[in-house]
Amino acid sequence: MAIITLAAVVLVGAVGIVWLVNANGFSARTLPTPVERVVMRAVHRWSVPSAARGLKNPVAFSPEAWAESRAHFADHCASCHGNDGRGNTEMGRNLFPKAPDMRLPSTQDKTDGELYWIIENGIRLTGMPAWGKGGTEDADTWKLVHFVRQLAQLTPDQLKEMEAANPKSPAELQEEKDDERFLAGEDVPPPVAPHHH
Amino acid sequence: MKQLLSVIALVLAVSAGALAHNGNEHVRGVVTAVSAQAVTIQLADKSTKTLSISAKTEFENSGKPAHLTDVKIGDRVVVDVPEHGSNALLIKVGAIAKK
Repeated sequence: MAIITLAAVVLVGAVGIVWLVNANGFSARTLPTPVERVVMRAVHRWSVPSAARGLKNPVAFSPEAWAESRAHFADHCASCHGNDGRGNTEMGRNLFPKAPDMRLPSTQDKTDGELYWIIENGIRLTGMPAWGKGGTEDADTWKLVHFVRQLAQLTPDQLKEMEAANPKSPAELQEEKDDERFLAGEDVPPPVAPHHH
Repeated sequence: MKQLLSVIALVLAVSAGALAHNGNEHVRGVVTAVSAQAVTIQLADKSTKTLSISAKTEFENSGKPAHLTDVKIGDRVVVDVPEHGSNALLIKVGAIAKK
């Protein structure tokens, strides 16, 4: 009897799911549901091997390492995470799950080893790619771990410097040139509104 | 059985989601009016746009930091504004427009 009841519940649930999916589809614009958040947290936890969690950063923090990591982050990571790590970019906001605000405990409570592992290996079923080769001694990745730890210390001047290091599209580069020519007194075509795709 | 439950949980998690665009614009033109609160600019199509100035507005002249007092009527300017806003974030001052 219990098996029949369970089967009926599963069947009704399955029909409901098919109906809902058919009616609504899936969108990356929505926030993850509570169930999805629980599943994703578990996936994140399991994605880092226990041995990696205990890794210590072999690169000493220094002004040079800090500057290098800012430039590296601005060039490779800021498109999604933003220079300030808040994830408030067009891509970061529209990923599923959205890019996290890395200043918050959900990121800062991770060990250095976990951060290193995630940068090197990415996280499955998210927008976070694997940036490294999977080893444990990539100095550039360890410098990025320092960067994540220093997010709250970023100054307006440093953020501005990072803006200059952000990747630019050919259209943005052309617009910069046109701006300079216009300011120098030349006639140039009107600027084009930013594209979203 | 555990695997089946995991699959059901994942499907439920994903399907439950079914229930439920950072760039600035550049405004180029010639200054027709300027005050501590706003700058009005004539664009290439001869229309005008008024952008608000706040304590956060930055000024630049030839790549160097400048001040509101460096913005004068007749100057060519490029103003960074948020995509759907009218508050000037950065005003770059250039040459005086040709008469």
